[in-house]
Amino acid sequence: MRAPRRSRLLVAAFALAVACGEGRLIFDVDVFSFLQGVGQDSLPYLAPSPLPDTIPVQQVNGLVTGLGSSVVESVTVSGAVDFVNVTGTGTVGLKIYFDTVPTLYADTPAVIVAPVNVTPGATSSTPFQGTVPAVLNQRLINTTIYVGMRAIATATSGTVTGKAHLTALRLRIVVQDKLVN
Amino acid sequence: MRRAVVLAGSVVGLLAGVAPAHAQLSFDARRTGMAGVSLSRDGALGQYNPAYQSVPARTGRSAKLTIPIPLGLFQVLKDSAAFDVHKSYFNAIALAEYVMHPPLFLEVKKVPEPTNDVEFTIGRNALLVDLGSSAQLVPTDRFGFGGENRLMDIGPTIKGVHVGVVVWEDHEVGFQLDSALLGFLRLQDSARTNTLYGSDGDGLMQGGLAPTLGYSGRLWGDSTRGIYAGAALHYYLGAAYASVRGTAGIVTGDTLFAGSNPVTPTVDARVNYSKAGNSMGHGLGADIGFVYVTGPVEVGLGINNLGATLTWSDTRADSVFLDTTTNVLASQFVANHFKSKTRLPVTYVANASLDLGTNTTAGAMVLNNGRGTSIQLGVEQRVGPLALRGGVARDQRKRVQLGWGTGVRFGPLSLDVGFLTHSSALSSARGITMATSVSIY
Repeated sequence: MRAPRRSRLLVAAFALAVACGEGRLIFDVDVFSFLQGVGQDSLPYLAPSPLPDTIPVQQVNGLVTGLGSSVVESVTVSGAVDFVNVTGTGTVGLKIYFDTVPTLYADTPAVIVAPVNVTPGATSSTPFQGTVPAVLNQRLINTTIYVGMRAIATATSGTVTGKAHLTALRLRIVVQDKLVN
Repeated sequence: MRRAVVLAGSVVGLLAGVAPAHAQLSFDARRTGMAGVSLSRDGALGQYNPAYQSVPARTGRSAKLTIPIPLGLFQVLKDSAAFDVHKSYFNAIALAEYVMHPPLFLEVKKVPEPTNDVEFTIGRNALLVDLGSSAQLVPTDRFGFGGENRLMDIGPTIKGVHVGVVVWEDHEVGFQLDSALLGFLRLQDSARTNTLYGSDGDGLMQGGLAPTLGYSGRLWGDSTRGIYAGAALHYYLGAAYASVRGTAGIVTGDTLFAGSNPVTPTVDARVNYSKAGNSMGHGLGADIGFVYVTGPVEVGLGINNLGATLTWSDTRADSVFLDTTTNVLASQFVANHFKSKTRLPVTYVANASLDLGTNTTAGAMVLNNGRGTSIQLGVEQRVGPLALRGGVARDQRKRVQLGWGTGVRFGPLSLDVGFLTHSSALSSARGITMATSVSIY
């Protein structure tokens, strides 16, 4: 997903035109649409497995330029995932990462979907919601952020295989109204 | 540089909401207390109605000099920290208010500012903006500002005949958003792919000199009952002008926030100009005015810039467009040394006043300067050295404003205070300005 710079500038222009008086800028980013658009909204899992189950890191564009000195009040993540299990019994969870660099799997996940029980041939739908760790907040007002997902599967009987299929993933970033560096 | 752009953008973006809010406010607290009406044959009456040059001033009513007391400046100094764009409490609305409304007088009640949370919903193929209360800033009709200013008029007046030279300038700016952009900004429509979001805009700047021959005098009657007429013929000599008319906007691609087909800015305009040093623009224009005075009743009508069209014989035209490869504005020669015409806006003022004979005087004024009509009604009641005033006005944005005030006179001096409500496009609530002035009779 290449950054369409002029789109961001357009958003920035609108923000600059209206950001006056006391108030906040709120960015509701539909991250799922970016992942779905490039076919990276699902992730196969396998347990036991010597390798981590991750998607290729994806780039998300859309926030405005000129937010450098703004203060992020809060960032929340919400979404839903279907664990479509094929074989085995165990638990499957998900970690979702956001960062300004592509090497994000080495860092703290933005949200952890607690492992849920899975059984052969069954689908477990799991909504999730959480607040992003404060250490990540300020990074998320970058014009470009990266997103990644890692599945955490553990087997209690047989080999657990299946697919974690995102059905929604949104970032809500609340920024204090200050657009000038 | 970016700060300047941000600042300018914020201010210009707010002009629509702020500019007309104080149309009635004058430096004279007496007029402020009557919602802008002048009962002393000065102000807009003399400016737009040449007949008033010969109407004698009302005895004891017209001040030789009015000096505003700038209490508002203290307020501005106190708020000056809010102008620092580096601070989190920097407020572009407050700055725009100060730019458009020179803060000479005290704001005893400020127009409440909206707390405008602004929400952007962004998806790979979605962009939706909820401006909250700031959506009211987005003009739905054609928005424009500007007008003609006569910077000075040099020359003698002998027995009603005026010979002089007027230094003038005229500037007009206007734009109108197209329906797609209007829906996006004001109605929270989601941005669509492969769509043009644009606006039509135009602007004009011109200036020069105008040798003037005018006459004003009483056609009939005496000092208590008579008809006065005034006319002035201006031969406009334009030193330079530039005008632009065109469209600007963006065209979205197949995908809004992804893919290799981003939005494409588009600018398509034509600029006509005649530089200083080229042949001057030439044109004739006239002002006319009448005043009828009969005892306590006075009625006047004045019109400026009748037929004022300038012809420029040495005009050049360029086409201006956005070079999408370099993202900079580029121009291309279209034509040169051709004839073009520009106009000056026609302004009219109609007024009436009535002296009720009980130390009560009422007046009304309708003014249209090409950017909308304002209507003002006011009354003054004098009780000994005390004057009580009140008025109501409909401003250029068609909002009703109220004025009230008082004054006390000691011989040749009077101290006056006037209050006037005003509003901005941002809020239905009104603010109140308190004007204070000293007049010398």
